[in-house]
Amino acid sequence: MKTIKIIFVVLSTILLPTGCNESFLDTEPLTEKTEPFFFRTQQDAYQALIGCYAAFLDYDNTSYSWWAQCTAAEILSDDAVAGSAIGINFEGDAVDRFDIKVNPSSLNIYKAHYNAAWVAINRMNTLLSKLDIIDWTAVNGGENLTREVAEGETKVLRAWIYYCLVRRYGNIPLITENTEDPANEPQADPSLVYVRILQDLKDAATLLNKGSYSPATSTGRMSEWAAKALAARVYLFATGYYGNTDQEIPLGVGRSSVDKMGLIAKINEVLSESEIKGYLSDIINNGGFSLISNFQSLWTTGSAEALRHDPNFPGYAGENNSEVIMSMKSTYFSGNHNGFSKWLGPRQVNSDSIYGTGWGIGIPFAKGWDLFDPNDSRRGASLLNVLLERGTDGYNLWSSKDQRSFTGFYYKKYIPLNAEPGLQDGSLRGGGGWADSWYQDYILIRYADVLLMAAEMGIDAQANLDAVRVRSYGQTYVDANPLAPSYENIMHERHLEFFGEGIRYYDLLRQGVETAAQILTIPAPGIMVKDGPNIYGTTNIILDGNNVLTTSGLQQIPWDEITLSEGLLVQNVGWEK
Amino acid sequence: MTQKPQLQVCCIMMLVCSFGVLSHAQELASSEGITKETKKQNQVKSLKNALDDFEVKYNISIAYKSELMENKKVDVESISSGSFEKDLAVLLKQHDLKFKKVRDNFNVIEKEKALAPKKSGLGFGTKQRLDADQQLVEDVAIRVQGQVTSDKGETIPGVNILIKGTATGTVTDIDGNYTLDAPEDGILVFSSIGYIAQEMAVNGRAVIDITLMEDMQSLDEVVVIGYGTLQKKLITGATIQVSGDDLAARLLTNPLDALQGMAPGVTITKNGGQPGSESKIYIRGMGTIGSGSPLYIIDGVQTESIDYLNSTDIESIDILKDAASAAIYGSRASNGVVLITTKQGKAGINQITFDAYYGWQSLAKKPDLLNAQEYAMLMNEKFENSGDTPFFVGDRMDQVIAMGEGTNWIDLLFEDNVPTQNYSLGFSGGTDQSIYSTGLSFTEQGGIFGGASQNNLERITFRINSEHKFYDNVLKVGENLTVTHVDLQGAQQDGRSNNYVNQALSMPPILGNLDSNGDFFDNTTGLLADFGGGSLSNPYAMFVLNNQQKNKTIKVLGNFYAELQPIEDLKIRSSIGTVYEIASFRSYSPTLPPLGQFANPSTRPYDEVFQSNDITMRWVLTNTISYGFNLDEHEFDMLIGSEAQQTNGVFLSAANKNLIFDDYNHAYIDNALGNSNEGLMSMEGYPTEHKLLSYFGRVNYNFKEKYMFNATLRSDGSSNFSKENRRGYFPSVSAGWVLTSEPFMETSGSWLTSLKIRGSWGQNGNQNIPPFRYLATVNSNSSYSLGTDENGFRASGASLSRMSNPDLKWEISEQTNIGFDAHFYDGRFVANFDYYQKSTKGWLLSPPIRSVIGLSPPWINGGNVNNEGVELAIGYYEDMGDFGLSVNLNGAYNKNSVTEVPNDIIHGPGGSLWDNSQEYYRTETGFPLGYYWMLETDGLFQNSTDIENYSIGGNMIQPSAVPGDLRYVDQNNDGVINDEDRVNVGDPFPDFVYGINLNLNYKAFNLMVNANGVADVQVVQSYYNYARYFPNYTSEALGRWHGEGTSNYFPRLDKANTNWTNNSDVYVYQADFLRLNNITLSWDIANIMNTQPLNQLRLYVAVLNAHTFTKYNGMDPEIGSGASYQIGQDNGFVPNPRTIMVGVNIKL
Repeated sequence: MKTIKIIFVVLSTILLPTGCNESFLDTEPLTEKTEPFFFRTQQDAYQALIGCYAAFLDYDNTSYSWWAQCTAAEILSDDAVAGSAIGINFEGDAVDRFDIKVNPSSLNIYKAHYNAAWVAINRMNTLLSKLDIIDWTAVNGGENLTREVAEGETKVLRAWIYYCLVRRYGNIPLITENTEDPANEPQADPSLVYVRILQDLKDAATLLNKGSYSPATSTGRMSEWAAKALAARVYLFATGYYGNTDQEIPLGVGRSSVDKMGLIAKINEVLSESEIKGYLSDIINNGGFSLISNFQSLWTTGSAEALRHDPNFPGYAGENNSEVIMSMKSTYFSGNHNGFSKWLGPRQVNSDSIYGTGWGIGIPFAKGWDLFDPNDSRRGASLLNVLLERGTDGYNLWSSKDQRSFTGFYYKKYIPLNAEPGLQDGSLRGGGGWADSWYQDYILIRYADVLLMAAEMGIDAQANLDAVRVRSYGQTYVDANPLAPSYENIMHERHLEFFGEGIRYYDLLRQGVETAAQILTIPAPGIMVKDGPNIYGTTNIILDGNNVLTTSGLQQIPWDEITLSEGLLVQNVGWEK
Repeated sequence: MTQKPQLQVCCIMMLVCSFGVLSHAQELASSEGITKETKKQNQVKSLKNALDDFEVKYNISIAYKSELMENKKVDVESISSGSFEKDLAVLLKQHDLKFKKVRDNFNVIEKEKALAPKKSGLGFGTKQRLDADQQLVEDVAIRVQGQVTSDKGETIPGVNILIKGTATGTVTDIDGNYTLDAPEDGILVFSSIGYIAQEMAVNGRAVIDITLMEDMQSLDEVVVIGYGTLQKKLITGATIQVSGDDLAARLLTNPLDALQGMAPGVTITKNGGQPGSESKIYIRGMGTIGSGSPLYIIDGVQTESIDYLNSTDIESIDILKDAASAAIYGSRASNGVVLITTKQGKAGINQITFDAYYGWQSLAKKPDLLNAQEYAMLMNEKFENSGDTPFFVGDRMDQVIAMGEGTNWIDLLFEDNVPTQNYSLGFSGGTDQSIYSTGLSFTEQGGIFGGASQNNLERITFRINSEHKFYDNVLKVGENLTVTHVDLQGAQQDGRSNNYVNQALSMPPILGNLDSNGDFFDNTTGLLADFGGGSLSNPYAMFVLNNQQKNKTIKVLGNFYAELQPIEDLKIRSSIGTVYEIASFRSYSPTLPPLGQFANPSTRPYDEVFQSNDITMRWVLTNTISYGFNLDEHEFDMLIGSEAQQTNGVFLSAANKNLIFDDYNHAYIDNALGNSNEGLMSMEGYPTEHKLLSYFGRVNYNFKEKYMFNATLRSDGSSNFSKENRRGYFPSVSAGWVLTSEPFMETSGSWLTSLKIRGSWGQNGNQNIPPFRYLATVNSNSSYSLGTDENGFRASGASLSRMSNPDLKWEISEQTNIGFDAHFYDGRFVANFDYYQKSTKGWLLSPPIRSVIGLSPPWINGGNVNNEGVELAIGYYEDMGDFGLSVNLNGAYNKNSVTEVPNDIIHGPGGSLWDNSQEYYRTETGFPLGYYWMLETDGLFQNSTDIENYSIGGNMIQPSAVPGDLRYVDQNNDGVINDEDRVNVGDPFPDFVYGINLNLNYKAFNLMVNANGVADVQVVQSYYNYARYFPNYTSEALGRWHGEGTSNYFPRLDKANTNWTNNSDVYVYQADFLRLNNITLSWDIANIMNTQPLNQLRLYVAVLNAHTFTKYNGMDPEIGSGASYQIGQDNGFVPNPRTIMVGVNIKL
């Protein structure tokens, strides 16, 4: 007994000082909440919703924004060449020519972008799956968020991301709040993705006509109108791309093809053509949107430049004007900024202009200038014509920079704005740095788009088309030069109206891959540019339309994803290593 | 096994300061010669009482067995000489007793041995000799005196000198001097712990000076084993001890670097020569792709690195390599354990040391870059090969010719004779009650890259260690404390971006540095810009502008301990240790002048300031009980203990722009004008926390020191894992057998002094991951701007940030070790051999996952790697009078093979060789960790027939090739070259690592040579950004293919860099090397002349990194940059400098 007692005493002396027991090891994160303690209150729900918005911006705009929707679509379109600075690799040109052999080492072109999309979708799926366990009682910091609004806005955001993914890659996995193990999901038939997108938007259109919130803190959130306008955009793209294409659209290397007619039928089961028309009419009749009178006033930098030369210019209409239906909001803060504008700016130009410096990607061809009628107020608002604005000296100065593929033109709508004319210190209006604080919102859907979609679908076609034309040309010109609301005319009008807004490429694809390939083709000897890259044995810009046909206009899926999927994912045809 | 003497220790504790001891010695000296004694009557006492009186009178301790005191009375009348040695001897002689001075002020009483002749020269701490004894010896002996020094020329105090065949002897004093009366034909035996014993015949000489060789492999050595020490002869695992003196002799700023080539199985790869660069260390092969760094325990306290220490502060480094040795550290030991003991004082040896060196560092090997003419020539060839017109013609070629050689950016960026210096002052000493050791040192090392004004390390280290005993040694308290201040200016040059060495290597020579106004050239215009290279900017300018930063670190590491020994052999020890570290960083980035198209006022419109502060506090409380006992000849030593450790940190940083002053000195947040609305400001602040709660036990057993057995179990709980998984158990067993103690081995005794066979098995863990990876956490750092104001209403968002893994648990490494230690010819020849098999299972790692998951990858337990290898160390020590020699060779062979990883492959990143390069290394089942996954090449196509002939089934394998292109091996014969043909073309881990250490002694001279090398290692060279056509080449490119037969390995040049954009073994170089790391020639003046009071006055000259034998064409084949398991990529880095040094060691 005595021995045992001694052992006990001895052991106590050892163990006592340390205190304690296993609870000593209990620690908890002090700067992060943990999942079981989140998704509880209305405030949690609001924060989670904002987290979805942040991901929505980050996906398209701040995560390696060279390949943001706008810049990527413009490089892919018939309007522009990849550009960028001399000495940069030819990745942009590989995308521009639909030909990976131009830069075979580009195996993960869209990797950051692709990843960011799934981060966004995960956040949205998580919030949607937690709606039932949240206590929706109003609390401070909850911004009066209701279950309906939370669900509706999240679904619009998710629909947007899926729309961006499916139109770029064609064959993607479909992950929703009900997917058990995303890592084991193969690529879904595109029809399922489009059905999900339209169902989300249909749900949102119903859910979102109930909310009311303070404009000062809520302007810019997704609305019923955004849901409806986006539904129309998605509907027209899907039915056009699959409906107007004659060739098969493969489901990936070694796989069969999309059942195009089946896809269109499934879409119509969710939202029929007449329901879409109803959405558009509703926006026009009840949305309270209108076209602002001066087209140039829609754009920050163009307005500032115009104001310098014409004191009577009405000025910038602001980013919350009556024409904005859906936008991606940006501000000065790094991480909340507009990421793609800096890519569009001209290379290092020191002049009296207030155009900010950029990387000079997505360089419009000179033929774009001739697309516009000289009376079209959209011409000078959409294109920066270096010779016209800066004269021969300016042209020579700008063309001497390290701009690959100098054409004398830049997209103007989203060009960043220098703080002062000629300032080369990179400071932008508002004092932010050049790369990470440009604040201009990216407008995803303008009212003009709704009017033209309505015209395209035969809703007051002439009137809606004319409304857009009158704003651009003036009533007198339109009266003198009437234009019938034919499909071709409307598509041409869309080309002019949305020049440089990242819409054109998908407007081409929805005319059918064959039509798109024909329009995109640039036959030899090609378009001559200054300092063009030497591809296909010439520095002229050449594009083989067969590449568009081979790829069906779809893009490369990051090879890392395919490798990690262990055979679940396959590459799109035309992008094999 | 010798019976431990059952001493009843009787001690009187007195505080004796070191100077007290010195003055006492003087007192003794002055009393020499007093022989007259005044007799007093009736002075008879018991011997015990008499001794008690002595202790009080002379401030000494006397120990004895109580039976010796029984019934003994002494006449104390005759003992008033004033010298306790004399008096004590007189007193004891009355009962045939003698005393032995074990240390200053500590004496043990023994019986006169029967063997001993009637003369007993006794050891004293001074040159005193007992007069009373003299008459007993003078008839048969002569007086011998002399000095004992080490092979390094230092005097050795405390050396036992015995007359062979007797128990008579003495010990050397603090200056290594001795005096002894010995028979004319006698033989003296000199022995001391840590030295090889030596015999010397007297031969009638009156002066015998002797040099003892240091015994690296001494059997009596005590090694640190974790929560205790053990005699080396009883060790059953694979451990290595390196003494601090040996480290200090290497003259390196970072003590870890000094281990290079000294310890087999411990691979140290220096990360270049930039001051403050952290070396990579891995023990017995790379076991994980996660954190492969060993556990560092300094005086019982865990810390992350040891580079804050000065080598002169280190007593010893013990490295526990096998699992059984490391198992006492359980969860943290899977990559081995490095135990550092800082210097302790020694009772009775008061010493002042001063060490200083000053050195001049220079670039050891310059890369040969193309000059302006060669550059223009090759660029023209490139253009021609791509169907373009040559660029450098006519006026442009005239410009190039006018430049001459052009700019050599390497010459511009590297400086010669950059100083490095170190001054260390140490004091140590003590009494048998109190010992202390304290030191102060200052180290400064400039960087050869840009010179000391750009890169510089300043380190001040202060250390105080002391230990005090109370109540007859029942209680012992002490502390170890090191305080360091490190001031590090500059930044590492590694990776591909912001690496100015890389930029200097690839910057074309046709750009000048300064224009006629003395400003940096603006490369926006001019010849290079016209050529398309306007995106480049002057690397010298960028380096000077961007390198304005300082790291200041204050680290306080120490422990306070108390050890209670209530009964003999039971020790209860409690220790509280802390590490307190403040790391502050401040940088200034000025606005850029126009330098090039990507570096100009617009890329950084405002100057910027960044300040951060990182405070970490760790405490560790350790309680142990150890008990040793004997049952007959079975000796047991048991230890149980508990340990609690907590680490808390707080990080705070702020950045802002637009400063009112434009220099580094004024770069503080308060001087910045940027406001938050413009997004110019940023700040961050967060805590870190980690806890560990552990229990452990160990049993050491031996029978007659012949059979040894050890068992260890540790249980660790870590806050890094969920409640269910946080506790891990780590067992180990080991055994040893000393064959030479067996009767059947006695015949080999003449040549085989000792042979021990060891075997061990054990498991260790690893828990080194960020906290809370088992939890799904919600991150609140996202935001979105809403509202009508253009400035935006920034709404705060939250989201799940990463996948959680509640099942996350310890990584386990399991290791079996078999080895032997053999000593031949009395330890003159020593061999240690080990074979091990180590398997690391369930790595803690965060492998890439499919992005559809939408969250950061979780941490998982996945992967298994086997390391198998052998280690051999051979030592040879010879002493031939004036001439001494020691040779130490060691080598380790390791084979690394991944046996399992999640999804079979863990991919390396893309873009690491050049801007758009494909993944080139990966970790894959069945291959070495991080092997190079590339195409194999088979020479070049010399002509079009070669290309046509390279076909399979009539189809050309490389139809688009042209003469001068690489011929890729179609590994699977499918007629196309693709990823299926990529194979293992090398890996960054050397198969064989070895070291050579030589020490030659001639009288006062000493020559030390250290060399280390690696064999069978491959590096990947990536100086060139192949996304561009205009960077500069090294002169290797002059040997490119430019016509049939001109080259079969360096392909033709073209604008698209066709032969480099598809990763192949053209990037891979064999990088075996043997480096002469240190050659030191020293001369100890104190050895040949009286330099009192200096016991040592050693002067030396040394060359560090004297020469590197290698075929690798880069500046330095030793590449330590990159991720822990990816260290073989040479992007250009600051190489190890060649340093010429002078120095002095003084001991007083």
